[in-house]
Amino acid sequence: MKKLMNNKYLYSVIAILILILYFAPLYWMFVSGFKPPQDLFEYPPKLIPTNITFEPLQRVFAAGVLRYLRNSFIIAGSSMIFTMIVASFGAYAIARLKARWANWILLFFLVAQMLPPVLMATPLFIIFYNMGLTNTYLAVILANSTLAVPFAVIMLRTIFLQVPKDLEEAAMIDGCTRFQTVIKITFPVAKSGMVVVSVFSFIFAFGDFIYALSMMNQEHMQPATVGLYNFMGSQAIQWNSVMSFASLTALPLIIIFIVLQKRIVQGLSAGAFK
Amino acid sequence: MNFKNWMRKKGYLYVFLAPSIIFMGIFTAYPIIYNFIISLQDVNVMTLARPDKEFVGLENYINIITDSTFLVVFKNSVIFTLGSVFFQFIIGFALAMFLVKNFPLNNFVRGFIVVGWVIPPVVVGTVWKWLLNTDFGLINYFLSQFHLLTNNISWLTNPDMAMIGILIANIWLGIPFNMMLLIGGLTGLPQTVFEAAEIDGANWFQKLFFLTIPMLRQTISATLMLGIIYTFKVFALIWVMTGGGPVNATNVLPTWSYQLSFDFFNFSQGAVVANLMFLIMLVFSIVYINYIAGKED
Repeated sequence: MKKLMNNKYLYSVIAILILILYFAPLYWMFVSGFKPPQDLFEYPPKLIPTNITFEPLQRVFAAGVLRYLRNSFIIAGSSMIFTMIVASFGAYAIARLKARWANWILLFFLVAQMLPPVLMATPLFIIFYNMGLTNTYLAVILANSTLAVPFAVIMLRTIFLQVPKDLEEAAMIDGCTRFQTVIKITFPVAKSGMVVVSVFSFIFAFGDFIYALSMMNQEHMQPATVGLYNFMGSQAIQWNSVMSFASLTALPLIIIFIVLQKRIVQGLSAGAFK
Repeated sequence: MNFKNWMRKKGYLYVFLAPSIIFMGIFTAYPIIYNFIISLQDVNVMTLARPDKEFVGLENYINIITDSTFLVVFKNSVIFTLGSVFFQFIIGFALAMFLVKNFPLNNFVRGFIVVGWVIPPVVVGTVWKWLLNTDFGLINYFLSQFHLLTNNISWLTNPDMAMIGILIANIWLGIPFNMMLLIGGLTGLPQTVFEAAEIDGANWFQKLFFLTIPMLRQTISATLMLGIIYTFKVFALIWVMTGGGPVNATNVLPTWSYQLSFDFFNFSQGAVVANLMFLIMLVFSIVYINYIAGKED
């Protein structure tokens, strides 16, 4: 018994060490953002910073990081809403359709979800260019949704398959239309799964780089990922400011992750194979 | 049967399905077909807006395949994909084996490592570019502390090292995903088999190679196939770290396609490279989907 106890504590210590090792890059990103230049180029580097400065942060704010983040939220939020509206009804239909061709549609979504974004970058750019949609949020939102919609349909279908039909039939007997039934019964029952899928859609679109990079050349509309890339390239690299920018770009997702951690982890292990 | 009745019984499902089908038709199926058309035309900055683009047949394909860059880029793609998947898998597997054990902090650590997976690849690439910095990067510092090197390594600017540089970053990024899938598989294994083997005196290696790996075969194959599919299309991480350079040392099919379209404005050739990727990905996706479908039956 005593040996087992020791083992358990030893394992916990090793686990914490693994966590520290894995998070070292993120820690370094964060602390580098608060270092004055001379400390940044100090050798050996100080693993725990002694001089903390907010100057890199100020420079990043002056470079418009908040505007870039706002654009990221506009793009990711709109993609998420659009994806959830389109995909939840589509997924519901596929879950309830008994026809064989419904499987072919599912297959199409499965393949679509695995396609490389760069494959769509060239044709979508030309299509949007000819529609006069380059340099609009709409183009980037639609482009991001081409990945999020098939992903969401596949995840949501499995979730809706688990909603008992009896509940829906009871609502129909009470006089609800099909649309009302789905809105008032099915979606609320599947709520926790739908939240996870929304969060995934948001995370994907927030992290998008290639579509915003290829379709937007106007700084005031670009999201934080493109902002960070341009910020790094625009000057002789000041690594403390760059790391500060990177931290601020990652921060919203880290916060979302910590708040919804349990659900995201469950969703990732449950849905990834389907 | 009147319309109202039909709608109520079955028709409503078609109405529900329509938006997603229309959306995917216009913004995924059509672009794939259009991409194929562009690849047979001459599309550059001058002809971009013109409705009547010149048809050039397979000329673009021939130009790409006979381009000396093609072989380099293709080889890089294979090395990057296999190298990433191999190490992500080994490390993810080791972590999964360890974290399925029952001890106080296992769930906490398991959950938090997944943070690496939600961080945008652009941010990950930027951070690793700093960590791998030649003169002031943390990686060179630690390596020299342990006397593993005498001269600082130019991870991302030396053509011989750049591939290793981007591999390190991408392996870091992919560990949580591999770990999560494998933990899912490991928790499903029947414990009684292991207990029986222990009574028979099996050691750790025997249990790993004769029990865990064979029983986990399906999860392992699925993880590796998904790993290949996801790694083959990595763009942002590489673009941010090296831009495909130095001298094409880290140029892979996605970065090359992007370069051709958006740096050289040769949209046709960009489309050709994207189409070649599409074919390769399609084969992998179908193999994967068949495998998963076979497993469920």
